[in-house]
Amino acid sequence: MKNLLFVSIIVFFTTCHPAVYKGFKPLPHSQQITEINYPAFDSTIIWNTGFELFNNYFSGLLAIKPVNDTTYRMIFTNQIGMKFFDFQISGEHFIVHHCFSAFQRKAFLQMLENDFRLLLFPTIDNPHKVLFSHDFLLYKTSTNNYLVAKNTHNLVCIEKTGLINRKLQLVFCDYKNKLPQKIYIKHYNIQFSIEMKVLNQ
Amino acid sequence: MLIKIHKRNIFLTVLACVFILSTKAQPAGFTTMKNTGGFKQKLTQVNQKTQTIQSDFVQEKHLDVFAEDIVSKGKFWYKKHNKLRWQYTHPFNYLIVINGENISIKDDKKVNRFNSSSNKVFKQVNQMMTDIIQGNIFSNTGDFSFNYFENATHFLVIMSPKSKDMKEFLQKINVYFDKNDLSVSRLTMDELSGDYTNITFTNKKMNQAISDEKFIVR
Repeated sequence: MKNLLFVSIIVFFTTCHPAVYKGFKPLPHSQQITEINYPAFDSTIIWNTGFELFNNYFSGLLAIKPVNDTTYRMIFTNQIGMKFFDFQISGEHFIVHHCFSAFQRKAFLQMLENDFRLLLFPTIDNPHKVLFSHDFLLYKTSTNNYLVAKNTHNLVCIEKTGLINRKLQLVFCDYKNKLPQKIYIKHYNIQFSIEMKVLNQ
Repeated sequence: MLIKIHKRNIFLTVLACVFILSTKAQPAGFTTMKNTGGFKQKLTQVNQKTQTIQSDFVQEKHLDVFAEDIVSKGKFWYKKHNKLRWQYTHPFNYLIVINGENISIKDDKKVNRFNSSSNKVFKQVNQMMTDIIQGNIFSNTGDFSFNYFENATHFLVIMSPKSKDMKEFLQKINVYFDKNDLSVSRLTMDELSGDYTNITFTNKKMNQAISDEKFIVR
């Protein structure tokens, strides 16, 4: 059932343009949810992670550790233990402690910084429109769309949109104890995606 | 008085440096190997007799910033010459198969195939993995420098990479040989940052038949 929801969200968002939101109706202010469950990255989690970049696929283990309330340390190694990158990220700063030379491309690092900042610090700031369907609430801000499950209040998708097309999508699936067990990040203007699954040791 | 203190500080600093250098040069619990030539000769003899190896392994990845190591388990099969199946079974599925110059890597999602001859680092890592597992480490004198130690139960060979590409991943590889049969019982791969990967081999079986099918990924 969870997988079905995951697949349906992916299919929904990958096959439709933003115009599909015309199916959503404006939500009366009295029915808006004030408490949204954002993914809780509040302990060290190891993620089984795959990156796909221009037909190159590489996988490994991504460890994300909260250093304090506003900062995370992220280390990616392959399964054999070779360390590819070691970043520290907060709302304002991005420190590269280590990065394998092949990955040291400004555009690539910038993309990772933006993606992981959106992943780790999601907030719905001043939505100018809130819509609803049977299962979801849709919060639209000037830059992003946020999809929230009506029954659980869990944030299930963030979508970054341009004037015409979507640019980026983050999908959060299978929540357990406020933590999504699967996360899918897909770029639409560049062939780049990240798939993360919680590694149960 | 100032001069005296200064001299004493210099003496203490020099003493500390000597201590640090000596402890770095000689791993704790080990002394410099007495008969390096004899060890190499015996190892060569064992290698010549070894046709296949299979073993279970436990890998511990230590990252200084994390409290707990990442522990993974699996099995490997080696067959002369240059055939290796390295398979993680817990807590993830991941398979590396080296068959000559062909490398196949399979995870839950897909199979990637490479030819190590097209990539220098791949070729070095491929060579390093098969050579270490086989105990045939001295064929790599161009890529590594070696230091030799021993204690009551183990010979320890410390391999330090020479190439810049390898140094990016590894500061040194410590290979522990069991004194009973000269099989590799443990590997530690140290990084410059202080992080390391420790692999312990158990349940080793030598020279048992392994089908060539084991080294084909479909």
